[in-house]
Amino acid sequence: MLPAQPIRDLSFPAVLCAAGNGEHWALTELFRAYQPPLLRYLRAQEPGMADDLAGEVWVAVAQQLARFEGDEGGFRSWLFTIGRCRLIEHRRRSARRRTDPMPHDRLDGAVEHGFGGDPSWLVLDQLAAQEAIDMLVADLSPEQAEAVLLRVVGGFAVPEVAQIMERSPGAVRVMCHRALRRLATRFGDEATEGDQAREADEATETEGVLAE
Amino acid sequence: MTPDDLWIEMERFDGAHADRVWDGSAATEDAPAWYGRVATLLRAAPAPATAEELTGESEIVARMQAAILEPATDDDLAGESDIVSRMQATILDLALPADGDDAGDTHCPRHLRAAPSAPGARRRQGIRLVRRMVAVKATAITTVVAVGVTAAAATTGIVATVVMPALSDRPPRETAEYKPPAAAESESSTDRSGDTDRGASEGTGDEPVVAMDPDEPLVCMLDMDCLLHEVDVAAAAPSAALPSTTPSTTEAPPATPSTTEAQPATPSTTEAQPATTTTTAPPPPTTTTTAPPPPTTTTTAPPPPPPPPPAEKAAPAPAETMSAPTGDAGSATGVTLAAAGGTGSEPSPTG
Repeated sequence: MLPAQPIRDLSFPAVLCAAGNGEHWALTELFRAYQPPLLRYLRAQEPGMADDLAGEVWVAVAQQLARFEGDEGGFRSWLFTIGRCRLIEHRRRSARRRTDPMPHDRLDGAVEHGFGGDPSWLVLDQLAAQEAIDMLVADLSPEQAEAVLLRVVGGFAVPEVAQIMERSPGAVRVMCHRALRRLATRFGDEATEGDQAREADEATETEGVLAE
Repeated sequence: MTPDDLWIEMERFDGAHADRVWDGSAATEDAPAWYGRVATLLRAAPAPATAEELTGESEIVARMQAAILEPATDDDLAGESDIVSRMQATILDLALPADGDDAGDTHCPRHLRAAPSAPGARRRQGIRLVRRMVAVKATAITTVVAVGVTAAAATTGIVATVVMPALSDRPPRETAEYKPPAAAESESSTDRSGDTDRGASEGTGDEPVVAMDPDEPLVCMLDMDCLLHEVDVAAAAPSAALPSTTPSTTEAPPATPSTTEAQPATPSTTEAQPATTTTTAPPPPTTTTTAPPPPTTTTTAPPPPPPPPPAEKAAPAPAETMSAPTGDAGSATGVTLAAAGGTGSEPSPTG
């Protein structure tokens, strides 16, 4: 049952308190606010099991919600910490199974959305959030991808990322720095190749005009 | 270092610059050319939620609400009391001061020390020890009783199924016909089957033989009292059998009164003669030596009166001389031995 006044007008502690009492509207508000970044974070690392892991995370949050104390940032950090723990557990189980299901659309995504010389690159604003995230962390190492995801998708600062990843802030900064350098190398080459191709097209067009 | 490298290095040491870079809001005029594409991706990443991402909202919210409102199930609380009690015991053990036994362990780390004993632990340990001893003894007694009952049952079954049928199926022994003593004297010692050798070697030709019924139960044959009873019965047999069984003795030496005296001299042995017939006949030469010579008496005394009847002339003196070789006690013992040795296979002459 939704409250009479809009949810946005309620403060986060009020929503959190109502959710701790099992209020349906408060739980829905929390879910709608934090499910998208959590699901994107999980999908970027475990595409096949992200939805199930997200459900487990929310149930775990509900079981311990009455004992949670903190603000909105703390709740978000707590939520992603639980998600990361579930992700690690899933990877341990997957390591025992030695199989990892991967949807075909995700495997073909890099090919369909290749950057080299694709004119659609110019309209990246129309890309879906998950596709943009996949492009962003495609060539990064797992630790770099996780740090970037927490910074970009989760919206955490370096100390919060360090707390979630159980690393030092300096280590997180180094990981983000190396990730940015790798992105620069990748997109710089693509930009160079794109410029060269564009220049070649322009030269061809110029030669055609001159020939005419 | 190129300007692009310097711009990247600033992200490492300048927090504000790093926030702008990862937000996709860094100044484009200072940023390298490739940052435009990265900034586009960074801005697209935290896009508003789509309907696909909120799929399953009602289900997950319902599960969350159920997890909050419903109490924990029994499975979730399984072992909770045990864990809580162990935690409490651990805390109490740590809180208790060390006993005198643990005084020497103070130099050891706490995780290597022996667990401190709670008050009354020794008493509880003693009770536990007594209980264990009682349980062990009860188990031992039960085992012994079970084994004994099993053994008894097995023995009973063997006796009932093997021994008794074997005894009951045993064919009855043939009874030898009675033969006259004179004719059967030589054969009697050999016809006594397995006891022949024994009887001959012991010279028990004058010993009475106990008559045993082959159909008599085995337990009676093995009973010594029963055998003695049979001997007594045989010894107390009616004297009417004597005339019929001792015709040869009356006929043997009528001229010598000593021979007639010899027969009543061993009443106990002659009573058994109906069973043995001829074995008790004394040799005539032994009697003649004991008698005084008649010629010496005829010169000084009137002629002797007619000889008295043999039964009346049975004087005790010759009886003593005659009973000496055999003896009642010795004969009884001899009879007992002979009977004990030959009752099993010896046929009863009296039927």
